[in-house]
Amino acid sequence: MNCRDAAKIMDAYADGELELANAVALEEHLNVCQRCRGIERNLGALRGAVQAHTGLERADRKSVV
Amino acid sequence: MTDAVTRERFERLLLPHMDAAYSLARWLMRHDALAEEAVQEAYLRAFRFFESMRGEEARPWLLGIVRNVCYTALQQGRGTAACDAFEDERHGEDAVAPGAVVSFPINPELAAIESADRELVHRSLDALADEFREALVLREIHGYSYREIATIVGAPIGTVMSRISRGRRLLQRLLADGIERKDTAA
Repeated sequence: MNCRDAAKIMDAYADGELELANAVALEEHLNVCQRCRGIERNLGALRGAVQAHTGLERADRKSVV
Repeated sequence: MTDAVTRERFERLLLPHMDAAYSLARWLMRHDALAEEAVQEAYLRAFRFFESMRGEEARPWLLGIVRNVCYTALQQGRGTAACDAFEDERHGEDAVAPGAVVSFPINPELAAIESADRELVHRSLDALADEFREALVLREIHGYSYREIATIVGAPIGTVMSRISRGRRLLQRLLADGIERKDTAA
């Protein structure tokens, strides 16, 4: 797998949506490619930032119907 | 089915998802009170059409209605003005094929992402075009699968994948730009 192919499936991998064969191939690539490891790490950090800062507060509501 | 049975079933299946409904509405409407209104409207609509929900998962079905209510309200001029920060990119690259390559800039962007604060994350999400923001909210905040998101937004899974991927790239750039501006102003 090259970096271009890795980029196509990186998001699905990060989201746990990639089938096993492709996940294994991508992991083999990540083991030898520092650049793609950086991209993967950015994805994780982005998710962390969004989840850490997006808690919404709202008042309790009663039945609406 | 009697009214009482219908109501009991409705409350059992749909009321547990009210927080998720509000969260999605809030991110789409970008306004607390308008989000509340949209959720009210969505639940009323869901109750009206509840009999048509057969064999479907309740949560995606409900969120699909929430989404429709929000976009209808936005089209009618309710809701806050959309930021056009990425309109050029949106129109320039919207024809992106499912699974298209979306490359991320590599570190030092990591430092920018990790140092982003709440205000910057919210501002950056709000600046995204609707289809990217809703895809990211459903994935990163709600944790829905690609298949569930596809059901909610009524789009093929490939389109969902593409929107999530592009949305992340745009969000990352916004965060990095926001940090840069902050550093410059300091």
